[in-house]
Amino acid sequence: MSDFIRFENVSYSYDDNEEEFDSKQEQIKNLSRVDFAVENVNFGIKKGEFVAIVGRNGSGKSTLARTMNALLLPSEGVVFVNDIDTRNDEMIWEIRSRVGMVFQNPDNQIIGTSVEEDVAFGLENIGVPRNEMIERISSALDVVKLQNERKTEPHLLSGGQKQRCAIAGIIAMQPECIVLDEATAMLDPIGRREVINLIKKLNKENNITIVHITHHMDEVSQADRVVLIDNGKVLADTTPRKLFSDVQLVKEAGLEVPQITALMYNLRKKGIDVPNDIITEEEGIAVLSELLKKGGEIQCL
Amino acid sequence: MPLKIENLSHTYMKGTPFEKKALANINFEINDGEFAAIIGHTGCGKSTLIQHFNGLLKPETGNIYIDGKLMNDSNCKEMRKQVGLVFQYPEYQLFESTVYKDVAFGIKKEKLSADEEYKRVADAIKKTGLSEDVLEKSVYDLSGGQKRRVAIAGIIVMNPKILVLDEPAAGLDPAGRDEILSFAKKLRDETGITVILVSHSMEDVAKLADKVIVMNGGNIEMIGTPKEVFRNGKRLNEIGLSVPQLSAVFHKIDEILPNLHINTDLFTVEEATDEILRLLSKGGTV
Repeated sequence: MSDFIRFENVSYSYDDNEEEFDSKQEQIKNLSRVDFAVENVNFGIKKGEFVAIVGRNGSGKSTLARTMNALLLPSEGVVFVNDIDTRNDEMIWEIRSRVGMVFQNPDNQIIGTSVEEDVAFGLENIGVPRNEMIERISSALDVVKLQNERKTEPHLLSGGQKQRCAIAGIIAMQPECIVLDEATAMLDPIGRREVINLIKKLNKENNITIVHITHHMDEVSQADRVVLIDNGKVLADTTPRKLFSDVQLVKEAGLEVPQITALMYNLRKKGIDVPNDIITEEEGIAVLSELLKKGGEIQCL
Repeated sequence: MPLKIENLSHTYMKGTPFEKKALANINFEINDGEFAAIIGHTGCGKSTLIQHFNGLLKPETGNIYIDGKLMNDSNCKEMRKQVGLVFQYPEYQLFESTVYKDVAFGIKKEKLSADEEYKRVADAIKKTGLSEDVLEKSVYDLSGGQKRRVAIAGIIVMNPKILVLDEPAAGLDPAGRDEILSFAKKLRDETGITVILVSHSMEDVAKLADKVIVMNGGNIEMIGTPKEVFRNGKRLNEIGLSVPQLSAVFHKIDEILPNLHINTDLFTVEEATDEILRLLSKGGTV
């Protein structure tokens, strides 16, 4: 299967895009090395995948995300969305209708005076007929479970509800891929759970490709695949299980493993035979209760 | 410096159709030098509450005592200086051209000598764990975590006796989060400042706080040490919160192997490791 989104030798530098340099500054700039936010990135995301992107602050995650629907165009290399080159000006709306983006702060992306109007905003812009619009809004609100709030003013919603409202606005556009750029960072534990459960559902039931940028390692455990970015480069591209089993690498990249994984790592260091690829609470509970049961039996003998 | 909240209530847009009770009869005390944490789901009134601590909001009913003194209209300005309030995403408030100028902004009115001012600024920036070298840098040359610490230094420089941090780690990577939080802990340990932390991270709260204040729908749901609070996992889940991952795991193991009497009052990886090792070496309990 071909890739839905494909990065080919993609580099991005914020310096390059400051067009109004006078000649003197231009000279200085040419002397110094160009500072790449993203440097020579190559990977593909398949249709229907749930990919987490992790990396420390300033590693280039958000820059990379913004190249996925042509909010930013690569300084070098090419990004393909469904085999369309994102530099193709004429196809930009086509690309953006396929890849929707949710940002960190829900307050910065809601503009409607009620939930349903906010969801309608994108549809109005692409000229969807009224009847179809009503239908699409209603089904999007069903998916994010905000049907009862459809007349509510967005500022009265909780953080998790606001992010779900933002996601509904994107679902209504019927995209094939949703990119969430730290969309759970400002939410409380329940709000985070709501958003994670929703994106998992969209991924499994509606086959929507999910790209989820996050600092929460327990959310990463939920993904099929994780891409670790450091210093603008891809440092690892693997499964969450494999990534977290390399505690050293994760620490060096300024991240952490889930608590349960760290516990297993510590126990192994103490010479206790537990697996090094435990990443969820359920797995941890099973392994530990087995271990403790056995520990008891040995003593009983 | 101690802080006492007595029968505090607050209603937004009172007398309009949009009237909303944000705080209802809140009572608690935070002792001098205590590291307190306030947790609660989004919209439970945490931000409304902390804005009362330094008089940004006035109580509709109830009283606020700082260092035993009742806050009122006439002394509010003076008392405000004792309470440093760091908002969410404080780095968005940076506006000066250099780090030095930004941090010094709050003490400009004190009309200090240049030397004295420099000393205060350098001292504040060092307390946040940054080095003096950053003072002449542009704030835009710093990373997210560094910017945030510069913003916090802008509050510390005013020598508050109570420091309120509203989700200081939101949006930071794990390393940046650890830096900010260990700075707050160290500042408290070294200077005896009272720290009040608002957070959504149960792991951080469990690790750092002496006292946890749990809010729900404008009310106080519970107050206690992390151990006391996180024993109520079920209730915390009901009100939109959770317990640290390892507490949840150990509670579950306790259900599966009740005869083991596993200690469930633990939150950190180190505590959990020790407990497992203790049980394994003891053995014979099943």
